[in-house]
Amino acid sequence: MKAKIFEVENLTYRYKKDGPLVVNGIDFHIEEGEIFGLLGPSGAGKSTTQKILTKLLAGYNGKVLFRGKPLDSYKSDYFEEVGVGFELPVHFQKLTAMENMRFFQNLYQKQVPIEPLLERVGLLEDKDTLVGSFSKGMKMRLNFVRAMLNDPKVLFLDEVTNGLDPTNARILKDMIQEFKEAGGTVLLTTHLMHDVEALCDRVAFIKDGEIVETATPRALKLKYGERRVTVEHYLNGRTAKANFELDGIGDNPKFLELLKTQKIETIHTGETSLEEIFIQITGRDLRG
Amino acid sequence: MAKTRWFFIQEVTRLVKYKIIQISFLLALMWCGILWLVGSEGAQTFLPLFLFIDASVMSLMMIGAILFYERQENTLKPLLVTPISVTHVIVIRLFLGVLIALQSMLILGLFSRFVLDVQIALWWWVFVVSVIAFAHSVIGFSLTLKVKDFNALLMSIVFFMFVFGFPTIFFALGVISDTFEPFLFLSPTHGAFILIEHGMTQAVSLWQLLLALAYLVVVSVGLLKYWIIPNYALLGVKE
Repeated sequence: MKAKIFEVENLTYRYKKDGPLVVNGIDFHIEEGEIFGLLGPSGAGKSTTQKILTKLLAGYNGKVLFRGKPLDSYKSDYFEEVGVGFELPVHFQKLTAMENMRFFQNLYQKQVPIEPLLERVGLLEDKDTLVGSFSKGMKMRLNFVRAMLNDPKVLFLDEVTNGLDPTNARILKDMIQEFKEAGGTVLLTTHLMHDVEALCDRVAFIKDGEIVETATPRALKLKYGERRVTVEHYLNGRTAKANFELDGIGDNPKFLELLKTQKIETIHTGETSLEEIFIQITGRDLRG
Repeated sequence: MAKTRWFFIQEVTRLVKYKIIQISFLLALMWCGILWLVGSEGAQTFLPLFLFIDASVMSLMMIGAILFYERQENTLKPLLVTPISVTHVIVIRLFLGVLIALQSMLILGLFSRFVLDVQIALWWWVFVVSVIAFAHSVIGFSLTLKVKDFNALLMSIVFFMFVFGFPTIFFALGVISDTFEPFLFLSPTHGAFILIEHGMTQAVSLWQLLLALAYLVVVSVGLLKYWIIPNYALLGVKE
């Protein structure tokens, strides 16, 4: 079993002393080298949880350990190991892309060359262009580069592919996957299920400040998906549908007969998407 | 230390790119133009007044402008997840306010000395303008933390001026009599004014100078420690 990089136990947080609990006694851990997804509708508490783990918020109750030590025992050295990709563009508009990156990079001890990162996300040619003239997609790609400037060991990514076209979203997802393969750990906060399915090793669903389910995407699909097979076949000039139980399907005479005698158009197992699972578990839409 | 030095240099560069240094420079030239119009004799009255306005009110506004650019661009938050401490970020920003005020003070002071032949206490003004600009940058920073937009900041500066600034200006112009001066000491801007005035007249008593300096230092440290540092990170989180 891999080492736990983060351990969170009975974490609670409220923004005002007499306000409601935004995070309400959650427990989870993140293993070193995994991509962990925190999913939930707006206001569920996932961003607050991420802000606590990035030390943007203090004053929480419960236990938060990073590499086995309390998170609040770490000072600025913590940020040498961490990269944060925010949901919205966070750049000085009147500086160029390269000036922005240098501004932040020189605040770290550990640094990686900037140009290869810019090249990878397709921004090298625009490195001397003012960020104010960038599209939202370009700014989001620059956000990702900013998160990688210090060669982090842990990446916190909030809606990382927000506003990107499919090609650029693919590039970032590939880079995240490579980061993981090189031993990096990722906490991904998102409501985009394509990102989750493509990247996450484990996910936690959060609702009203509580984690209601934690598992691998596959385990969730097996648990909540319908164990049925739907066959579409050609019958009397029309498309007809037949449903069968998945268990023991190899011995199901009706299913076997159908395969032998009819012209089959499609066969699908009753897989449920993560979004459907979320709605099933929480009764709420992911987009809130 | 290297990180702090880098951050300071980058912040100065950013002030140039955002044209804040240039605007302050032009304003100082405008003050020089007025001094030239009123001549050497008039400069005896107006130079301390302009220095006072520049180090106090302009410091309030400049720090507000710097911070509002940051709020607009969501750049408060990413700095909070870098190894540079929040206190360093805040203090460097406050020193930027001092830097801008010193630029104006040097332009005005040297213009008065070499063009209008007015005797000035340059080093005294370097010292007191630094203290005044720092204190008023702290006040501007404090106001900026709680207002929603730049218009609201301007309104709060106008309010600040009505309560603290104008009584001092009226006192300087002789509209308010000396009898009321003890009450004016409740205002940080009055302390600022007498410190600057002393550079011109050398007529302010030692206890008044010490009181004014102490008041500005206490206001700065108090607001910094109990208001700005605890609330700055929260502002970044709300972005």
